[in-house]
Amino acid sequence: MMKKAAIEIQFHWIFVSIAGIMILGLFIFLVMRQQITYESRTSISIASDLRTILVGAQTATRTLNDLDIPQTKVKFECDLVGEQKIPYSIFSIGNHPEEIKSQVIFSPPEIDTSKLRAWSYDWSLPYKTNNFLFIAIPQERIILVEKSSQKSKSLCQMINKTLPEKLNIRYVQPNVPPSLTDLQDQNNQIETIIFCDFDPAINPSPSDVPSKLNPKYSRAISIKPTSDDLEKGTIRFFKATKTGYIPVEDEKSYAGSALIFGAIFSPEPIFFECNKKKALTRYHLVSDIYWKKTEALKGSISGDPNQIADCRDLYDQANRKLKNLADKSKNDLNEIYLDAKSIEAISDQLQRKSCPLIY
Amino acid sequence: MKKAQVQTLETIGVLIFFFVLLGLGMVFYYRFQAQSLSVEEREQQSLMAIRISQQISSLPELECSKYSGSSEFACIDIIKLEIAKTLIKNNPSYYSDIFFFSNIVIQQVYPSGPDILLYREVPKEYKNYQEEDIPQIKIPVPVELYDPSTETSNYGILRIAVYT
Repeated sequence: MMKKAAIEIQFHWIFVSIAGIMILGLFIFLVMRQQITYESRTSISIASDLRTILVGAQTATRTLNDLDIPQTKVKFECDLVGEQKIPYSIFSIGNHPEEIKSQVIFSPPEIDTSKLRAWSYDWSLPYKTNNFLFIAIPQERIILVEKSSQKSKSLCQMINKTLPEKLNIRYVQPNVPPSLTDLQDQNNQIETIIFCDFDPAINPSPSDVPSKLNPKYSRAISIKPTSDDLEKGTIRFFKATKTGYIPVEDEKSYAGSALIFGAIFSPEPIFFECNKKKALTRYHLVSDIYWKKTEALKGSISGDPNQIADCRDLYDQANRKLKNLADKSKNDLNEIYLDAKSIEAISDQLQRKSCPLIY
Repeated sequence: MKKAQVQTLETIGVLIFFFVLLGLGMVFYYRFQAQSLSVEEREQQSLMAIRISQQISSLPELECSKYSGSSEFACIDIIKLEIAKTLIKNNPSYYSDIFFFSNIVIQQVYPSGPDILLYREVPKEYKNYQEEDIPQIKIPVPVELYDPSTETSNYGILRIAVYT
């Protein structure tokens, strides 16, 4: 009898243990599933909110917005994929990616902060085709380096004047202290050095190297305008080290000052090229509209016959250029710039002759 | 033996009762979650509607000339509008990123004129539905309709309906 009772108790406890383990396992499973669901839900919600914030920031051109976002890691990527080099651009929060097909956003590749600065600037060549959005973090510094030439001075001054004052900008002038090497490390996560109208020397002098800055967070670009109005030229990216600068890839072209700022806020050349291509896609679409608008204006104009003839002649001239700009296969920024300048000149004449304006 | 069997049955009974209570608890919890998700979904759809209205109000494809004397924001060039209709239709994958599933109509209010459908993309599940039967969030935005050929402006409403 005693043996029977002992065995009975043991079986009872085994049974209870199995039941207990099953219940515990069920709860652990439910909690883990809930956690995964919660993280996904939070990522999707933050991504959607961030998207709305970015659209809002981009809508009003030439404005700086200080944005408060939930403290979370946001990654931005822009790459050219496939043989046709189609831009593929996303931002992701956690495991949730959101594709950004039409918006042109220049930003650090990874942001882990609750405060962002979003600055929008229009790309107008000569008419507005896009509002670029530039994202900066508070721990970011832009260093403008001028050399002894009028063009370099003009370029640096233009960039300094256009960038919002709230951004952390340092201007280094020739023979005026502090030099580049005197600049102290401020624990910034991004240090962008901009050489106005010159390439940094491969083996620069000690005063031309930011020796006190952390090379992990430093990068450099040179901007060399080829037009008098500084709106066209080339850009080259460099990796900044404690002793010099290493060029990264070949020179990239730009047209329109908005692309200068795009290069300043691009972490690497591919990011710049990818966004440039996105911008060009929109550029051709908007140019198509202006091309057809010019045709419509030509047909609908009324008034003094002499004035009509003059206006139509100008519309014909503009149309030839607009047709080129609307052509999706034409992506040479030099040619785009020249056609845009012609249209600008034609537009001035239209205004003088009181013809309805194209843009 | 009979006593042991009764005890085991008792334990099983308690476990069954426990799991029934747990099941009921989970049903209530997931119903509450579903309700809260549907509220959040509605909020996200409202945000999307706001996003679309902001983008349209400053779309370079539609906005007026800065020299027209009109505001650059919430002003639509009607010549560009007619051309943009076709352009958007011919580039659906590009513009669906901006407009998503929505119905965008420009209504000329004063002086009255015809409605212009700029964009319409209906989710698959509602393809065969009548417009009024499709769940949607509507946002009307007053706009200026500028004619650059006559340099005159009319008053209109940009009617954005985002399908939910």
